[in-house]
Amino acid sequence: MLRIAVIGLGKMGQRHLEAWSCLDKCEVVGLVGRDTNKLHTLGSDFNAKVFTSLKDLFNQVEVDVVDICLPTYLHYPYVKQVAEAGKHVICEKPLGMNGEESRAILDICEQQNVQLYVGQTLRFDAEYVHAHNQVKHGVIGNPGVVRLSRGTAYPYGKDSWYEDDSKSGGILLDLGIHDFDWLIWTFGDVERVMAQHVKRELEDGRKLSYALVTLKMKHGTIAHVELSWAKTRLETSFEIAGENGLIVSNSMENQPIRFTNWETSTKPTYLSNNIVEDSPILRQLEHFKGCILEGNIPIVTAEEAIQAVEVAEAAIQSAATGQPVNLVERKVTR
Amino acid sequence: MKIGIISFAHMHAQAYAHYLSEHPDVELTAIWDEDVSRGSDMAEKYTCQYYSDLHVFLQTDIEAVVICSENVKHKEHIFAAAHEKKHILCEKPIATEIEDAKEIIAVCKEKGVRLQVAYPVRFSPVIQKVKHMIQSNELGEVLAINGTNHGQMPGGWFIDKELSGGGAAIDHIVHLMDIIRWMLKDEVSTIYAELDTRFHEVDVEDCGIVTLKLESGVIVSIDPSWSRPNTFPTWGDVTLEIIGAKGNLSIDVFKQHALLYDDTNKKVQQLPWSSDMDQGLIHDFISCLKEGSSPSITGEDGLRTLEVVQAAYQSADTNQVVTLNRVSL
Repeated sequence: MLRIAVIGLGKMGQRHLEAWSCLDKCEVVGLVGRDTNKLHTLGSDFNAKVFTSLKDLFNQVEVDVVDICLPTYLHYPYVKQVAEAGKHVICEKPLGMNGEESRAILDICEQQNVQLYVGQTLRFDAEYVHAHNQVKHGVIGNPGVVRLSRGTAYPYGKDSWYEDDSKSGGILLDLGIHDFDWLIWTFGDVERVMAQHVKRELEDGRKLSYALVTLKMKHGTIAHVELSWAKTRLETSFEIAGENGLIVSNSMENQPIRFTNWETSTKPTYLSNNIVEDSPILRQLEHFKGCILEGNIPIVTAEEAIQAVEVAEAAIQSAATGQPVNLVERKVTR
Repeated sequence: MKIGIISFAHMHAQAYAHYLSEHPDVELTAIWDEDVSRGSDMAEKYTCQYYSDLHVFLQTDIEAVVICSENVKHKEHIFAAAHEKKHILCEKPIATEIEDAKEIIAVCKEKGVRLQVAYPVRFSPVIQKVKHMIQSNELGEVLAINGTNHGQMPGGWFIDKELSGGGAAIDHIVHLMDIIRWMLKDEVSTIYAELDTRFHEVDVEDCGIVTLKLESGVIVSIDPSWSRPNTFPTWGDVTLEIIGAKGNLSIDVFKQHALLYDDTNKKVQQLPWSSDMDQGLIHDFISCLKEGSSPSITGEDGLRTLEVVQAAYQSADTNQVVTLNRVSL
């Protein structure tokens, strides 16, 4: 039995609570958050004791792992507290605000001898896992150019910490991390990054953020990533061109069911609605559970999560300077 | 109006010949081709006269020529035609070197002949609508463009640098670059390019991603790769994602097609049913000649797009961002 505490009551926290409640051999023994109304509602919905601090949680219940679903800028201080209490850590992506902070997070966990798992959800997304496997099985031969696109509605409102680059890292870190991790997982290390980024606040108060990133992988593949916070719903697509073939996939054309409700207006969506038996988050948390309880080998390591953050950081630097950033040189000079 | 064609080296010559033959005010009377058998075959197909001597061809009573020779030969053929006062429609790219493009523009000006560069994508009804939407401010301020002009590897002289001047970059950057300049009335400020040969055993680049910043600050990516496999249901694509302050525009220029699952040829094929942009290009060229107006796509348009290509090559060689210094005309 895995005793879990979830910290963070936002979108991701709720999704994680839903997923944990579907899994066996585990129990959410505590829920930690600031908003007491929401805390009590979610606590009763998911039958979990509620706490307003980690300290109270650790004092009152036995916990094996803390699932951190907090804004990115809070990952470091909260992982530190959890690790120092000797509990394993599951942390939402991106692991840290930059490479250095992400590295420090892993260092603390290693020093405290606790396990660290990072929620790079695309590694558990059927569509992207399938594409990864096709490449690895050599279906398209040697890869040449990979194009990825990911767009959602602009993250306004309650989760407005996303808008603040100093809290979320902005679109290149927060949204880009998915595709950067998938690229590294599938094609290996990144050598160079070139990125451009535009942000606008319009007269009517609407905002948008949009970035175009080119990555040269160490073994040669060229990848292009389009990131958009200018859509009305989640839209993703990819095409992987290789010497023997081309794989294409587009979320706008993959919908087996389309429902147009006349009454509801277009409500922005941020998360995937692929129709699969297990959601990526469910598969991810089940996998982490197996790693902790049975010692299974993790599909995604903290080391890899750090690499993805480093690529995002390089993209942010490139967009700011207008110059390409060589990742190998950056590592050497550090 | 009598018109001749100089060389069928570029496959677009066939489409141009077809639309010239169909045009009510035009007579395709003469073909010159270095390749005797290709030229004779084409002359027979389009019922006109084949000439093996370019000089003799240019002495005939044609008013204009359409040049579809290999890229590096454009200069020689434009010079020859201009000297005989023939108006010119030249396949893109205008030339392979910037200096050549400058000289081409100068000689056409000096001889008083109209020079049009073949950028047919401008005549796609899809692109015309997009241009109208942008220019009537339906998108608001344009902030970013993510474009592709993919193709299959064309082979032949296209992969012989001595004749083509390069591979996928010179072949495919120019189309998107031209419509971006044309729609936004903007020029390129900086260029960064990753170019490589990853799909085919050829001596030129067959893929890449080009990162551009326009003078207005618009950010642009262009993918010119010959990355479409042999089984792709058509020759390639032209797609654009345009991010504006008022909305996004997703454009797939050749989306208007029926899909044929063809057991006879064991292929899936896109069958386009929209109007053909090559026809639009030919009709525009002819009406410019008839009305004596200046060409809608100028030598300068050819030069400015070529400058971007050359800067992309320079960037790819050095892995540095290149600031474009446009030559003055």
